[in-house]
Amino acid sequence: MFKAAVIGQYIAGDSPIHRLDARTKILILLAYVIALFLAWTWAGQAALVAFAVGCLLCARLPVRSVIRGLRPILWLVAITLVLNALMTPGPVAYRILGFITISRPGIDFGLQMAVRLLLLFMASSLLTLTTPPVELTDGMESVLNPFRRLGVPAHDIAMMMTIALRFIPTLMTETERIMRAQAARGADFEHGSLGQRMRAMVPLLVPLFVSAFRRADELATAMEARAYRGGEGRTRWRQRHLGAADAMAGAAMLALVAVLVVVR
Amino acid sequence: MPIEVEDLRFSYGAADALGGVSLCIGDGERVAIVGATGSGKTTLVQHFNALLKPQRGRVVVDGIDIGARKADLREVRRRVGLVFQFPEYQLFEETVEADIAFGPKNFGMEPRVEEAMAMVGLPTALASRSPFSLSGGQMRRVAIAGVLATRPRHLVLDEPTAGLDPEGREELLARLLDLERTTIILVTHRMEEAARMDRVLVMASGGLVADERPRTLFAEEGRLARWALRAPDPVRLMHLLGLAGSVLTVDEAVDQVLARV
Repeated sequence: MFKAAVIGQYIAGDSPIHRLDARTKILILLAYVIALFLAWTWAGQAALVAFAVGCLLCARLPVRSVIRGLRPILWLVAITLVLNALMTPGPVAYRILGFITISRPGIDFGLQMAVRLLLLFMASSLLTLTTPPVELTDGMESVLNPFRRLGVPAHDIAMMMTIALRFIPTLMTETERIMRAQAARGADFEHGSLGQRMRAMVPLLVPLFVSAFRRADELATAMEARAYRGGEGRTRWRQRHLGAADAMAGAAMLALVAVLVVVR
Repeated sequence: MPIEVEDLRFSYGAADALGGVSLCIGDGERVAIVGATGSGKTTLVQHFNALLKPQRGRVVVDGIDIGARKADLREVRRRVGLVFQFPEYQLFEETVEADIAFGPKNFGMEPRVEEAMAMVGLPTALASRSPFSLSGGQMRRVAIAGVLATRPRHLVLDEPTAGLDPEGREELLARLLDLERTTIILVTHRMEEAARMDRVLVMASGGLVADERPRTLFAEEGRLARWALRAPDPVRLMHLLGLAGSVLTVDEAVDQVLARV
């Protein structure tokens, strides 16, 4: 039951997108998301869609798993579309049952928001799908590094993310183990009303938290035993260098921005 | 009624965990299951109380075929108590008493908490304590009591003594072996524990390779090495001394040696 739960989990590959430096990908994603919320014309949106689809094709990911990854947010997209269509005031385009009105600007705005959400989700999952978690957090750290002077604990944030990612599979195995053990004692996680099923989670969650804290404690001891004391003066085993591909990716992003400015 | 397994096969994705295991464990038998790590012991015993369902073959517990569409799995789980490795990690209630009563309540039985605590040698004074305030060994006993409280006819224990001190290990095992009218199936890496059972099943790479009385099994050292196992120390000592006889325990070894002096 937990196999399908991880959205945007890294899929190994050797595409141009996979080979890009994580920092490049993070910065491009950031620029893309900002552009996404500043572009209000249909032409601009078309350009943004084209860019995302282009990247997706370049990444040579299995199409089916990407589409499956989009499924969880389809509800959110649908709700956004419907709510915007119903709530935005303006000239009435359609009337249902006489009292429910859908306005022309409502449809436009709703569609734009829906496209925006889809792109937002697709672009960010493209980053995590093509970047190994360790590279991703390393990249995060470098990108956040300039803000250290403002008090942003770049290294600690990256370390926390690395550890969190590392423990996802461990905690899933643990969850299955505890579920089995409680099922052996007659616990039932699948039947009963919503309330009963929520109560049935207690025998699962308590041991899970207990073991998570225990693991955290053990990990802290193990790190201290190896003289870990934060990022100060720490060097890297994997040195990363920006290359021609990164320059080209940056140029592509700039081109997209230029197009967006022109069609504004 | 017995636990019958017929040509049971099970695989996790690509890797075969069980490749055609057949066996029968009668009521009240004391059986050890031994074998190297990854030989399929845990996968096998999880079938005994229907946590895993056979992908191929049959598992019949007290006449209930657990692979059947309408099998009453709850009844199977009530009849077969399964104590996992490191069971103390499944404790969750506020008091020892409530945790032990969890199983019986799920099965709609009257929780006889004190009886279960006595079976594992826990003082009743601990009943109102939080299980998380106890020592590791005591937590283990609470978890085992939680399974015993459902009064299973068959009790499967997956390395119940791992990580306990020698004295605690000995005492806990003695108490479990004292349980009357209960089938005991003990998964263990300790051959001294296996030697105390009536019958030892040896698993290797997902198959059942031996099913013998411990005395017969441990008599031949060559075979054991092939399965990455070693006979109990007294047995090995007697082999080294060239006193090949059918010994199993330290006491028997002492008697044999004294007889020669």
